[in-house]
Amino acid sequence: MVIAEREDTLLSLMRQAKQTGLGGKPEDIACHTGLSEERVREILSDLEKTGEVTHQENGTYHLSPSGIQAAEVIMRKHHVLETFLQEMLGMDHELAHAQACTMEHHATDDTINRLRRFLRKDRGCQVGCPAFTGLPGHHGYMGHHGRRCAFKSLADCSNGDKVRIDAVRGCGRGGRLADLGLVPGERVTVKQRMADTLLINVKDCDIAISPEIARSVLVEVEN
Amino acid sequence: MKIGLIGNPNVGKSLIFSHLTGIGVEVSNYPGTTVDIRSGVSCIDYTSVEITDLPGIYSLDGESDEERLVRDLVLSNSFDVLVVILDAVHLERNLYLLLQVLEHHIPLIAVLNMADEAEKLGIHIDTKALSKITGVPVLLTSATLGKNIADIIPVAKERATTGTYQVAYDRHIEAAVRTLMRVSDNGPTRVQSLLALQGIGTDATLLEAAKTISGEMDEEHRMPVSSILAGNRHHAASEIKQRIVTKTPGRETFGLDNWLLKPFPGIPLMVGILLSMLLAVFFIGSFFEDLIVEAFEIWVLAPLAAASLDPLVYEILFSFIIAIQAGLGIAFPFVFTFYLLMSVVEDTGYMSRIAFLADRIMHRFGLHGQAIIPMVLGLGCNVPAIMAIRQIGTKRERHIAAFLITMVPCSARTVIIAGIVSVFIGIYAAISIYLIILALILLTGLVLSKVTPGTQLGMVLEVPPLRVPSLVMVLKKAWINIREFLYIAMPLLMVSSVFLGLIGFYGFLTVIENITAPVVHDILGLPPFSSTALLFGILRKEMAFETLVVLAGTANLPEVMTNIQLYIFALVSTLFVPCVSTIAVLYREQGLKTAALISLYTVFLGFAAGAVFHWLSLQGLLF
Repeated sequence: MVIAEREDTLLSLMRQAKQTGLGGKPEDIACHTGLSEERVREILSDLEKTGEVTHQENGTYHLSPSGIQAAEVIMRKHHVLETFLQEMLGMDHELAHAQACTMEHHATDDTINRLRRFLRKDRGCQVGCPAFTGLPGHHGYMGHHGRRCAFKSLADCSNGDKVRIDAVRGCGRGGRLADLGLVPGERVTVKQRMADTLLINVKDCDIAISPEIARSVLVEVEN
Repeated sequence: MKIGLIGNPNVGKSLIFSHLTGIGVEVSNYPGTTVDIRSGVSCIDYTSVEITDLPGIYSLDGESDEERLVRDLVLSNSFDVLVVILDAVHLERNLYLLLQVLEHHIPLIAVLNMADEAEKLGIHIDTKALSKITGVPVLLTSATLGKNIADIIPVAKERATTGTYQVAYDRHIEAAVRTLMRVSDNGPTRVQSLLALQGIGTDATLLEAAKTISGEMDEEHRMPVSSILAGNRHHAASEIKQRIVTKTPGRETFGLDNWLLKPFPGIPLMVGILLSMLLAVFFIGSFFEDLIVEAFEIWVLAPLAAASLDPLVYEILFSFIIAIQAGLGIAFPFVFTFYLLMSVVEDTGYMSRIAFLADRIMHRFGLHGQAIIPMVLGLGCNVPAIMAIRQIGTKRERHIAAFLITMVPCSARTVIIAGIVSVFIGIYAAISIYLIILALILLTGLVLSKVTPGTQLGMVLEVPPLRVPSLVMVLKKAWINIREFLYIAMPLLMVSSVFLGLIGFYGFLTVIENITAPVVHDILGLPPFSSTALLFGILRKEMAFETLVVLAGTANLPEVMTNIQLYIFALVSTLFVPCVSTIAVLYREQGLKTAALISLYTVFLGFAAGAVFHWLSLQGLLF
């Protein structure tokens, strides 16, 4: 429980800082998190010792840079979980939010990263797929958070790009592509682009692919 | 004892095969496929070993003709030992197939070929470690240098084992396999269960059970089972590679590809190479054709005419020899030269570069880069070219390709153009015929891509590193191709020639000429006897030319026909109706409807083109 309370306190401070630009008072935090004011004070002094918050003269608490970082990590976890619950499992927004609020404290970074990749992959598949656009809440969610799908296919790559395959949309040549090593997670270099036809390098082998096939391979540009 | 050579395309399998077997290679064509399988016998320690060179494949689970054929052969235990040949330079990708073959539990050995190339590139492979991991003997060879090739058969005979390595699949897959192995009464093996999950197999109960499970897994993983398996296998292959391969910076190879694959100068180079190939076939062909035809005239036909034989016997013998003369005069000079150059283009790896460069332009015609390969092959003979269409994807693509390939002037049509137009009118007139045909092919492609229903699939083609081809392999390949041509063409040519001789002898030709005269004379402006020549051109294209000479009674055609008549005759006979062999193979590959449609279309095209030229000449617009 201690972790959850700590993290809730950090989040609450973050929210207040965003809304008012000021620090948070223990009583406000207690009101937000549903903890007793006493407990909040205990946690805050703990956090002060570890350097995540600073105490001001006027009795308010501020997040230190490391505190902001910690809060942002939790915030991100919350977002990913909420998205997953709402978009994939079709949960109601309020419920998803409430669930994400408790789950965020226990999910490891690895879990969150995997979930995030999974969400992205799925969104890639929805491009141009009419079956998904009719899903209730789908558009609402996208509009609400205003997030854009950052997906790119091999066909959008140019000479010398190094990319990682995220997904291969199941079309006719999927089997051959997989046999040649074009599987999710594999690194690919675009060697030559002739009009829209691509010459790519996978597992040290050169492979020529037509534009329509390149469009079915969704990739992420490597940094 | 039977040994099968299995491996990816372009790993030097055929070269190893030819090292192992020497002469006496048999090519068998499996029913229902166009896949050639070569087998030969080798004698080691007083026992004969039958060695089969399986077609190059990327996977044993795939859906292409080659992959299906090899899988069936492996599953039916056709071989006592499998020799898996891997490319040491691209080991990781090749290990994928080795891991698949290991699943089949057939005694095998692994051969890492191209060791010399790997060494040059600074790739060091720990074969002992690979042998330890997989549990099978591993040999490092170099087929081009002949290094360690002699060890292959003895090692395969004495030390081949089924191996101990097993790919650790996703736990859902492993669970599914365990379930399936229990579900059917026949007690399916692990590999049968894995295949069943991908919908491959013959056991109906197993397949049904597998279908339910794989459907669930599809849902859960959001990708088909085959992709999960492929991913797991690639992962295993890459782990093995990391344990056995060390790379030190090797010698950088000169990047010829920098030129060949760039739009410039790649495309001008490609056009130049293809054109010079055609010109070479044209000139070398005509030169040797003259020699062969003349030799026949002097040594065989003149003595035959001098010997006073019964007229019927003479007619039969004469037609028979004419057929052989025509066959040899065309087959060797034109077709063999073409296949020789073609083998060079294929063995250097330039063919797949052509496919890459041509992909864009081929998309205009509703095709893709890979379709250029059968079209170029069509310049030699339409028959193998149409058989090669199978590999290029969807029905729509095959339909368009079939039309276009039938219009590609094969070497027999080159003979007509060379023999009539180039000799009697001039080289520019001959080139103009090629240009007309090219324009018609492009137009047909543009129209067909608009009107043909269906979807387009596109190309996925490996572009192997450029290699210097081995002379022996090039000759062998060309020889195998020409041998097929001779087997198909020569008997047909002889029968039809004798048939033609006989109906001429009994006076049927005049009947045919009288019937067709109005069409041929009024529309095309050709002399009546040319209609028979055109008809016989259907049997074999070049026979149109031979028959014309026979019927005209002189080899010096301008004595009996004007230049414009010769030009129209050549144009019509090149364009109209593919030869019977082509129609037959069209029927087999594409069905009656397409075969009939293509035949009708080309007849129309031939007569239309001929009529246009006749009309133009009447208006005094030509020559």
